[in-house]
Amino acid sequence: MHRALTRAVLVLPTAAYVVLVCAAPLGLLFVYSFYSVDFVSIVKEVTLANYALVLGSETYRALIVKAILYGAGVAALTAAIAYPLAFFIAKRVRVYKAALLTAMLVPLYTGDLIRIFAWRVVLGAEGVLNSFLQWLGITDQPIWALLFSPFATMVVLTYNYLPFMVLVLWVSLEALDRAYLEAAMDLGASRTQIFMRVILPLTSPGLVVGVLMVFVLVAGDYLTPQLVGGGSGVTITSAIYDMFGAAFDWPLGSALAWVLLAALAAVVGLAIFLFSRSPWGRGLGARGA
Amino acid sequence: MNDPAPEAVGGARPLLTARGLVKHYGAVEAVRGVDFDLPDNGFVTILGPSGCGKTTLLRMIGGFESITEGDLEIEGRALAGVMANHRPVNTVFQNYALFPHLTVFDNVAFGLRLRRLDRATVRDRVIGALRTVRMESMVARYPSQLSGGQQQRVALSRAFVNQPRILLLDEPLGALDLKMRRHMQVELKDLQRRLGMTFLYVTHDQEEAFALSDWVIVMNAGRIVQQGTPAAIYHAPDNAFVADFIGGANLVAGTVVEAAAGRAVLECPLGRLAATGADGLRVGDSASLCIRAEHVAIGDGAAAGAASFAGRIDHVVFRGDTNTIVATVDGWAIEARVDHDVALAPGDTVSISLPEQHLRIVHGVLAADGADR
Repeated sequence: MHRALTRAVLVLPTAAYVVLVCAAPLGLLFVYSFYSVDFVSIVKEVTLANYALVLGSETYRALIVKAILYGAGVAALTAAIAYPLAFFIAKRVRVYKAALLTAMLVPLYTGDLIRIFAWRVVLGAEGVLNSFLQWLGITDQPIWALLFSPFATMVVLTYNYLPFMVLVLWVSLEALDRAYLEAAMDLGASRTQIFMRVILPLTSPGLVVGVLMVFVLVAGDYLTPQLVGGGSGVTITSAIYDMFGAAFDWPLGSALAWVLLAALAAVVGLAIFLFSRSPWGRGLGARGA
Repeated sequence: MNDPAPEAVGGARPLLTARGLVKHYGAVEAVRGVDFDLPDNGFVTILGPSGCGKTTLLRMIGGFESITEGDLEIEGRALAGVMANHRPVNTVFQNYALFPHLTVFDNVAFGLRLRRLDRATVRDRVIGALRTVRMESMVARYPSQLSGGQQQRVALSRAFVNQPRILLLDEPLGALDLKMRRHMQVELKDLQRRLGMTFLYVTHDQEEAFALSDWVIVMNAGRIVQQGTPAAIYHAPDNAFVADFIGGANLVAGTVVEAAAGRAVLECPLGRLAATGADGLRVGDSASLCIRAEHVAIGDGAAAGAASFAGRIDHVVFRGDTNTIVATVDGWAIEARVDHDVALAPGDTVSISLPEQHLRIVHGVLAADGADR
């Protein structure tokens, strides 16, 4: 069929790109994960030893759980901050909407490293925040835990990924008909009740997308924990990096990468499944008689 | 809720009073000083062209627009500063605004649950309300699974189930096709009688306003231009805007030369004509002669005492139940409604007569753009 041919031709570049740039390297890693290393050369004999090592290791399991917890924690924090912000931009601002959205994205133009080092200036022992606290007399010693701690990691990760959450929620809130909010108010709902019973359910598809996006990005972020997390800065991603670099154990690194991928995919899949089965997901999905 | 018997209230005190209501949006004056009362238990319609301020007025009562100036009271209680969620009114929105994530049952239960009524009471009242609009079999459906008319009924139940003092309806039939709209008009009127609740209805459709209402408030450019029963508004328009907007009467501009109780004489391009006059006409006022198309007589059958003119027919328009004839008399276009069997064609010269008992002199003249001055 002519149409089918046209469609195939149109899809080809995208398909080729995805296969070559994304699927092929992953496939290669998958193959490598079944090999082993003999001093400096890779032995191409199939073995499950790498997976056994990863799954049997308390350290690696803890690192994967940590990645998931950081992902979930930062996703929750960004959502809590982004909802009021996105609501304000979508429903209260008229003229300066584009300007505000752009302003929110400005930090993204500066690059990861710059932003992370900026936070080191803010949170460090001689940093802006500690100096200020000492000047106020709240403390006479700098609070070391501000930087190089899980706290610092959470703060910087939340800051870094907030724009993604705001953008996704803003799109959902922009599409939310104001009449629903008025109807809820008309029926006696307070502001909190309007949020819990109308805004949250009706923007929940956007929230799910935002949460999953931030979750996956944070779970794979190794630069931020490494640079501001101090002793707590070891992540599963940095472990994988070490396997490919310093340790020259590509097979084990590949196995780690695939276990992480499987764990994240499981969390994402479970989240989508639970949402589609929830009353909100069902109601919004109902179409036609 | 305690519902006093209608007799006890007895119309002595109005349910809602509006005094000098004004609404500005920046420099735009949407409502410019409006006074009216709403009776307990009645169907009142605010009728006017788009942009006349009728929806703004309804939204001020609902609590979605602030009051720039003036007083709004329900049973003597001022509404200014009271948030929408604390007002004893409920709104049926133009596009229904049914919550898409909730079933029909949960939509109707929304307001009752917020009041923390127990499960059994909520259930009884929701089912009762849905039974009133014959939608009790659809409780488990989502709004997207309903037709327009069904959504309309659910939106109505969701509002009146809360037993508001006033039910506000913002052009609720606008999205329905003509047949469904006629059907819902009958249902709405019937519903209002059965509930014994005051309905305040907003529409730009005069036919709808007449079919439904006990009392009609006509608005134009932010002001009330006339209020009364549908019959009074139709038969005794007060001014040129109302005469034109309601059923498109024929209007001839002129000047009042004589005015006495209920009678007036107008000097106009057709000559000096005496007719019933609107209240408050004074000599020297600019005014219009008004006659409805169905009262204009064509041909020789004119009754004695009617002013007669020679006219030339420009158009004959088939309207279904009648034909409308557009004729020119001294450069003035006049519309007349005649039966199909009257054989007339464009170009014919006919005698056109205006029976005096149907002539009326009203305030103001119509500007070229349709707004009255």
